[in-house]
Amino acid sequence: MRPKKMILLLTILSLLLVSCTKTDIEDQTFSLLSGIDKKGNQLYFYSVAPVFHAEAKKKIEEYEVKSHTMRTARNEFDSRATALSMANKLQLFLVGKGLVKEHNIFALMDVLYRDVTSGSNARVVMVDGPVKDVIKFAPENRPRLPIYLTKLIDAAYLRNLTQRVTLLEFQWQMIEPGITPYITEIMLDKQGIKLKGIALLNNHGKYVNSLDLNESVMLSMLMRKKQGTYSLTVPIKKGDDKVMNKYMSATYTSVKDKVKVSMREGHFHFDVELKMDANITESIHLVTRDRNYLQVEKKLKKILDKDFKILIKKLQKNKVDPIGYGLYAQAYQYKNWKKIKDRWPEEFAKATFSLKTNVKFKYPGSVQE
Amino acid sequence: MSHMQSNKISNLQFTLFIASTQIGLGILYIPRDLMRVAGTDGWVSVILSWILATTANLIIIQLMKRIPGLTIRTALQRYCGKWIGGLFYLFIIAYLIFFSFLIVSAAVFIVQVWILQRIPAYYIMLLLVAPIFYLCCKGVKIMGRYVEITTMISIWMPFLLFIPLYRGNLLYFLPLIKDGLLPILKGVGSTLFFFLGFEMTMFLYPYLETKEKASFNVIVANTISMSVLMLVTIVNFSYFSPTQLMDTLWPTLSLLRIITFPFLERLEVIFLSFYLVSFSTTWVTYTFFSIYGLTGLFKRSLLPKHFFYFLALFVISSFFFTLSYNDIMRYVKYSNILGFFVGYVFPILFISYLYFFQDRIDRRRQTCDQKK
Repeated sequence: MRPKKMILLLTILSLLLVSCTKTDIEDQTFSLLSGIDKKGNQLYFYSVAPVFHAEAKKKIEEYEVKSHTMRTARNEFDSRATALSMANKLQLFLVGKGLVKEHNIFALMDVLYRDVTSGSNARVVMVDGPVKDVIKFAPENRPRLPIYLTKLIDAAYLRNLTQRVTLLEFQWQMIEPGITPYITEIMLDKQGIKLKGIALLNNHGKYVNSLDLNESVMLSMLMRKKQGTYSLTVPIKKGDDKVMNKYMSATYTSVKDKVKVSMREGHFHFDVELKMDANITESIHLVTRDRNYLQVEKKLKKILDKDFKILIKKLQKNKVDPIGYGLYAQAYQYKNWKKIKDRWPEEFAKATFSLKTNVKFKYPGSVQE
Repeated sequence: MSHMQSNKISNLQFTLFIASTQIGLGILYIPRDLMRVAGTDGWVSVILSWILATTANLIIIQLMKRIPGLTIRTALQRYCGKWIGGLFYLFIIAYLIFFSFLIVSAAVFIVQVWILQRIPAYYIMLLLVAPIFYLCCKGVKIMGRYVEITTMISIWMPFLLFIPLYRGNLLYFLPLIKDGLLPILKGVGSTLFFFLGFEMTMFLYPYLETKEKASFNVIVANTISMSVLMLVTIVNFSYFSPTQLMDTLWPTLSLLRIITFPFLERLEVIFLSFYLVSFSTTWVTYTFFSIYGLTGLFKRSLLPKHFFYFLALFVISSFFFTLSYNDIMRYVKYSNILGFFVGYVFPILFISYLYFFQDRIDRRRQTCDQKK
């Protein structure tokens, strides 16, 4: 019985040791935002961390270092920051447009995936312009930059104005052959930080084109993963006088898409049927006194059809497939998919689409003419 | 015999014992193996291997029914002779010892990689080994209760996996049966080992209270493990892209990382800490029966000091060397091969041997006894 008691005692005593390695929050530098950019032929790394010390006036520290890899940059940060820098609370990962245009950033991000301690829910964001300007941006009427940016992106994501892409999702997009990556895009103008929409990357991880806010909403309607609300405004009739234009805004609910894949003349053909209910939120100069909703519905359908077609044409022209039609092709045309698996983006550009939107007015709003 | 009489376990405990021994290290890495071998049709292999494992387990029950009142050691020595029987038994014990050491080392490794990077291995080992020692000293009855408690503690964990499933992509499973049956059959090769742990039936059966229900119990136990593995497999397959899954070392832990709450990040650390609790049933069972087997083989009575020496060896060994990821995976492969012989091959061999020779040997023994 004696060894048993001894071990029990040792175990209990060893639990006390936990208190020996107490760490105060002041002694940790949580890197909440990190970034990479390129100037000339040099890589620049950025890190932003909150400061918890009571004496510090400015509650945030930001660094820019010239280095080779993210790990070497960490040593540089450690040599400057208040305390040990940690990446496990990372919220944002910014990349400069200049870098993404020329290089595959995924290769540079290896440490974020290999090291289990780094947070993998950081949002991947492209900055249209130098990352440095965004890092230095600290107006007085905003919370600390990492918190502000995180909230901005998450809120916009709820309205589908952009997509929130975490590190793990980005890895998925890069590795999965049936989809090409896309990330959030922001920029800094005179009024502050502005969300631009979505940056589209090709399957080599290089930037090719951007989608604006309206296109982002439409893109997210076509995506498999649907969340949040969709609010679109479409011009029904456009004229020279901007005030007299006819507009129709609606929030779209229960958006459902049906995709059928077939082969036509050796290329993929996608039948996409988009069903949704529209709740009218705004109609400018539109609904006439005779309540001719049916006509408006028809018109809206036509316009949406056209807009979606333009969007898909844009994607095809740039040879990017952020919606992931390759996954449908894999699921429904596996034999043909297997042959072209490695060059899906080119094949996607050759594919034909027939798109049908099916809008149903559900609620005309609380005004009835 | 008194040891067994005072240590009866209920049928529920018996069921949970088997299920929780089966659910071990496997759910952390098997989805990846399965994807490498069988592709997205791997889930079919899970069902096939479940059928195989349950059959193997029922064979063990039939075997134990043939030798009422005997343990596997006494039966082996009675029917196969002191030496050959002893050799077989030694083989089983060697497997148990090897596996219990391996699985505790693997736990230490995972804890060190995922949670406590800066704590030395022997320290973690010491902390893990202490509860094993306590439980083993108390015998099977207390271990049975422990298993019940750990099941209650860890019952919420599978439900956590539904969160990543929600973000998953079920399109990956289409078309069903992509490349024919061959990959699926190959996949059975890796999932079959997930169910190892049911060979504990051989040792637990004599302790069981109501032996008539044993067959039903093992079917339930295997089904529980199968559903857990199925869930883990489907979540992993739908969340990761096939290529991504092949490149992710501990996929199940990686996918838990996406779950965040406003006040909590890296949920997999908490998951892993709780998982260790349910994982511990595997170590405890294997460790107990290793020593139980050893002392039985050398005709010694089971004493706490035996466990103490055995577990002390674990700690001492971790002073000198720790296993790397590749080591662990290599040894897991070896132990799987051993386990295959112990769990699947040995019972069939023994039961067919008994089928032909049991009556004859029993009769000869009786006449011998009468002559005396």
